[in-house]
Amino acid sequence: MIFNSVTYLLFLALVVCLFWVLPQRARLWMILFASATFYGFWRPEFLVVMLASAVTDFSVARRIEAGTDDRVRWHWLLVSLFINLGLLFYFKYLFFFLDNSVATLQFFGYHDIQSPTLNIILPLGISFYTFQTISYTVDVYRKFIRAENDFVLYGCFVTFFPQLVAGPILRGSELLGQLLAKPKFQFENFISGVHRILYGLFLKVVLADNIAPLVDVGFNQPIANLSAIDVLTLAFLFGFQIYFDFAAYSHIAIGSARLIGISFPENFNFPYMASSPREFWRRWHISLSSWIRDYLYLPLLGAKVRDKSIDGLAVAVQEHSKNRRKRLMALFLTWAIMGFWHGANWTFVMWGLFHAACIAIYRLIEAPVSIFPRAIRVIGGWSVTLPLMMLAWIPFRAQSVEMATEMYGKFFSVQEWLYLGMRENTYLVAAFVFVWMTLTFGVYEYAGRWLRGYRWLGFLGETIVLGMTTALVFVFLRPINQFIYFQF
Amino acid sequence: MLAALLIGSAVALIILNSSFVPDETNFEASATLGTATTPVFGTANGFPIHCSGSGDAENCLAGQKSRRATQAALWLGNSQVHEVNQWQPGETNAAPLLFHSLGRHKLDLLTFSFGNASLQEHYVMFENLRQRMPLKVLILPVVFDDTREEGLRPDVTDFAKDPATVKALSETLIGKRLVASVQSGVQTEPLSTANDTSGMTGTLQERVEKSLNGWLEEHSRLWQLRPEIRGWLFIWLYRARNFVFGITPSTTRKVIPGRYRDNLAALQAILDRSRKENILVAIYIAPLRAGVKIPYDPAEYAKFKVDIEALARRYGASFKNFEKIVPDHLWGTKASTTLGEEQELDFMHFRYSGHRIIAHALHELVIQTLTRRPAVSPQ
Repeated sequence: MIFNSVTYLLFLALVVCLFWVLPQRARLWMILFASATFYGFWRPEFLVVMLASAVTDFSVARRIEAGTDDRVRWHWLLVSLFINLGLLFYFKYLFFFLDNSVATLQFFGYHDIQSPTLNIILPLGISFYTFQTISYTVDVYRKFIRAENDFVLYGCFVTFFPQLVAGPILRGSELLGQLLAKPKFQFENFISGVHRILYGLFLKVVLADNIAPLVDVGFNQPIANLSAIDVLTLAFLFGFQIYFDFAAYSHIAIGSARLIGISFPENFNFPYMASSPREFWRRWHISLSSWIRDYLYLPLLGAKVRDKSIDGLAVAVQEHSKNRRKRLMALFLTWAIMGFWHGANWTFVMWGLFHAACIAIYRLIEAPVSIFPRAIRVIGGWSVTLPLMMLAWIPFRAQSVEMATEMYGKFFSVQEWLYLGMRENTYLVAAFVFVWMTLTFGVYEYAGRWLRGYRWLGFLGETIVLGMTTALVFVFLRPINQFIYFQF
Repeated sequence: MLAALLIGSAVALIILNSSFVPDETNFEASATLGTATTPVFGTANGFPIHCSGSGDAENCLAGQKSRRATQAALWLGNSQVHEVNQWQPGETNAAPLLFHSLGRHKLDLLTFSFGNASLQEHYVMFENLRQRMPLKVLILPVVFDDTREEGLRPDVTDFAKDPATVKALSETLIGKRLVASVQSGVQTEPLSTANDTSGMTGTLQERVEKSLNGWLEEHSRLWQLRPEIRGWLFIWLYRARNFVFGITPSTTRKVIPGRYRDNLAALQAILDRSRKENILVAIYIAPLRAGVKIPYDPAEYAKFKVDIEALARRYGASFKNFEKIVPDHLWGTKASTTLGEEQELDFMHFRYSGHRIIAHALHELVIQTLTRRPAVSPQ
């Protein structure tokens, strides 16, 4: 089910009403049924795949917990990883793997071999729920949590509808306890949940969906028609689009869960205001980067892992293993996998490696720049980090590595800086959104505190903002586009 | 927090409800043309002879069939062809006038025009329509403004989905790219309300969402008005932009190099195909309001005219510069496209008398094209 639809709003209202009138056990059954309905509105047959993943980890985790021999526990963990990653590989990477194998064979002269035709549909949210179930089994293996004996509760954890399709990716320790507890209705939670949903819908239907046509047209133009300024503008525009789109999903997920008294950790925190790559990864898709940190990067370094989906990959930037080469290898490998997780295409790997390179360079310059005053480091860092993070989006959006390379190539020719290749509105929208976002951050960070001293002024401001947001969401609410992260 | 949410939302919805009334508004025309121009699409014997795209093309072609036309002319253009400035009852535009005058020479005429039509869009329409009518002469106005356009609008996109058209387009680089853009589903303008559920096509939710929307539209006037309110918001933004940046009709529109190249490539593809299919082509530089500063860079505009003439000559097409053919007093003003002003100069659309002049000039041009020697091969 798509959040930006009347169907979802009606569905959510029904679920929330039922939740607060039902007794505890019935609530869990209702959440499980609602989550299956939510998912089944897309393609009911793929519920089976999700169920297979869930049942595997439920059973394996219990065996891991029951096991006393470490080798047996380890083997059961491998079984879980094999099945989960096998499903992911089949649905998401099989065609890519075969296609690249055929290309390699053709390169070595086996020209008779052709790429097979496969008609595999990627189940919605498979990358998200696979990571969530893997983390559950690994956490049981690490003895961070106990294996769950109640399949209904466990089923709710895996399929919980607000975060099922595009996160935030939650740990067992973060959600199972909350599902089991008997939350009391709190009016503040309810209002803040409505706020978050409204704000999320605004980001999606008013901003992301209206920026999308400009980005689509820009990226579908022949690259020869684009100047260096156009490439930069498109990078910013897509950066805004994907941020608004994905942050919108997280806001609606957080708000929806809050309506039934469940708290999710934040997934975004003004990432484009980061003054370094480290800070960016503390603010962007925090639950995924925390997952990668705890289940990939830190284990690769042999470092102590954490059990919270907060702080993202910032720790990976800070991590100072003595073996510099090993640290660098782990960094690049982690980011390549992070890219590959997003999609079966070399463009995503390129995106990951771009970030790895930014972080590697940041590690080198971090100490020398620390001599500057804080204000200069923050403003200077922001003015370098922002365009770099935006430029990283180019391979993420480009159709091929060649296209991304060609777009980057524009920056190295003086001639390419001397003309504009798109309609004036494209630049205006990019500039307007940039100013709007910076002002919003300023208001949120600074003016909010100041306004608290003037109660009526604050109330008036809030009323105007909420009124305009409601009106715009009312006018623009229509499911013309899926959320970008649905494809991952 | 709750009070702010309730008061804000209530006031916003009351304002929306009281500010908008149902109205059939063409937002694109209203934003770019203002209200002092009137679109006129002529008919003959109950069939349209002037259409705007794939939506009404069948009717135009059916009319031609009913007239048993053995040879025809096709006039492709932008809004200058169908809009009449300061239109009065009983007046028409050049299309029906030319239709009747060419009819006396046993040459049928179909006209297709829509706002800001680019040469790339003309190319797609030409490749489609030439296969469905006994085309003898193509009349093609070339407008500098329209070389700044890129991509295809939905009404043209449909033409590019026809297999025979795809095959023909695929013979050129620019054609291949246009086909690819259609196949990738990229929209160059906001989706119409018919595509409101395009994010969930083929799912159970699509059916549910459509029924819910239908119910809401039936029971809430405000819900029904949402597409219109969206349109008005975009117009307001457009006008605010013009106001803030001081953009007026005479503000210089610079050439966009890549788009210019693509549009000229499309023109070249039209000329090349016409030569191969023995279709005669009459190209003209579209009339432009004289007596005031033109909204183009003079050097770029001069180069544009040279480029078009060179292409026409290279492919043996007739070429005329009608830039100054419509005298200054036959142009008019239109509703302002910025905030706070009533009227502004209209650079693109002239009055009925101007249409009579252009119809007469085109008649001469077509007859001249029909009677002159066949086209020579390009070098």
